[in-house]
Amino acid sequence: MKNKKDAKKETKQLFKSQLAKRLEETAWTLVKTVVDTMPNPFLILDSELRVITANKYFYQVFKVSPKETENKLIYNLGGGQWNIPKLKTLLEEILPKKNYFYNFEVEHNFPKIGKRIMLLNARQIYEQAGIPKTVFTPMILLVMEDVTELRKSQEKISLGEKAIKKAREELERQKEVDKMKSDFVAMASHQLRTPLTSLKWYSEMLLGGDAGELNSKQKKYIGELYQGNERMIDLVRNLLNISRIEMGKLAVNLKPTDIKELLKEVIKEQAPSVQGKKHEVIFEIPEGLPKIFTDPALARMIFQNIFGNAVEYTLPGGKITLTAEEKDEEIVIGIKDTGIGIPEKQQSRVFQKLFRGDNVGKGHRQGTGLELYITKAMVDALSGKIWLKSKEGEGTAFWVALPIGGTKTRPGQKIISNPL
Amino acid sequence: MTKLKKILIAEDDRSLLSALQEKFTNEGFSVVTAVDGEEGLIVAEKEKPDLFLLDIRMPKIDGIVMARKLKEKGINAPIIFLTNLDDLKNISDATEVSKSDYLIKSDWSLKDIVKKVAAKLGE
Repeated sequence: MKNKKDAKKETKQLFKSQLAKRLEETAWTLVKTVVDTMPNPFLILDSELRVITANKYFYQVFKVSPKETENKLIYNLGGGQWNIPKLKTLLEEILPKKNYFYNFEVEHNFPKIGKRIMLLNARQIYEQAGIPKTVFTPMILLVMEDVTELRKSQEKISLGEKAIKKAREELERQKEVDKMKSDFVAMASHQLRTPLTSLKWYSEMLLGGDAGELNSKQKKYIGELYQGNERMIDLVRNLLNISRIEMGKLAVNLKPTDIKELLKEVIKEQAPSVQGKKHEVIFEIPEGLPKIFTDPALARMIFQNIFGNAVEYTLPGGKITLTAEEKDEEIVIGIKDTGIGIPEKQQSRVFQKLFRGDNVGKGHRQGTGLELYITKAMVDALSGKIWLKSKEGEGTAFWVALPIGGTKTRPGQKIISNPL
Repeated sequence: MTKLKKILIAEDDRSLLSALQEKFTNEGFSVVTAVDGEEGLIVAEKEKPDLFLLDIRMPKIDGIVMARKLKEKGINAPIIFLTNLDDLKNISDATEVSKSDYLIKSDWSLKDIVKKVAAKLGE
């Protein structure tokens, strides 16, 4: 009876242990299968931190065999490459304290694969697998991730960021230098203009008889002084404009502008020189042109320069014709003279700095050679176009096309609203 | 006979100041002067001019600040800025103070400045 009972009990126990063994084997197979398919190297360690097994990737990545890995203490693997005190403490605390750790970073020169950066993650696995402790011995799963390439690319990104930062700083410095330059130009032009103004006003008073009548010779000499001084004033203004253009600081202040009125004013301003040279001005601007959205100050300078050149470089008794027409969203203004013309081979250079026609003889004003360069830059600032047709000895015609609708902003330009 | 129009000229360059003073006196204006903005404010309160002709860059108080202070004091006589600074910042600062005229000295003859002042006073 007892024997029978004992035998039954034994059988039951045997069955139980076989079942447990089967279960353990099944679980083990399952774990190994899962672990082998994972694309990261894994180690499974027992409570003494001895390697129970590793997955395929571990062997591939570290170029080691199961023989030199299994049943070895982790600290003895590959010549002690995992013998890192901090890692040891972390691993030893996992089972007793049910701890885990994430993303412990190790940089190490591994014997067969060289210098790598590994991220280590570890945790106990029996509970996660839902297998009771009694059946399955507690184990540690140590997962490794090779982040060497990732770190390299992050380093590259941070290098890129550094380069961008450096470029930004350089740009800031450049802006600072530009500001200093433009402050300097503003200051210098102010300093130059003050004594020029003094010369201008006192010679004007002398010529006007404010200090008593001058004889004709005195008048002539002071007149020369006055004209020379005017040229200096023009030069300073032109230099100031050029420095603004070249620093991209040409301010464009758009407002609806009556181009016909503007042209009338330009002609009126220059009436004394027109009369002095007995030129005939033919004003063929039609009624009813639309107002254009442009900068009247810049537009004025453009036409002052072109009209001024027509007056100057036409022999006395010449004819200057102004025309305007609306065409393709633009107003095209023409200023045509019967002057000395520009030699054909020089025509492509008229908008360059310091241009001077070879046929400009004595008896013509000494130009600064900067007016047409400035004129072209101002036309550009107003999104316009300028072109010419000229024949030596017959005359020159300039055309300026300005958009009716306004101006497109170009890089480096500042558009301000009308402050008035 | 009508009373002479009185203008205040604030200008720190003595050569320019005396040219302006002489020209305006010759043209029949009553002229009071100042060589900086601070003096300009004192003279303005005392003399109550009909028009201000202000330089911008001056010691102590510049022309723009002076114009602002005149407004604060309730002095509303017209202002014309007369300067050799022509950068935009100055133009917009000046025009923010009032819609006054802004003349570049070296571009203006005395004769035309006198015309401008007379026109402004006639408004």
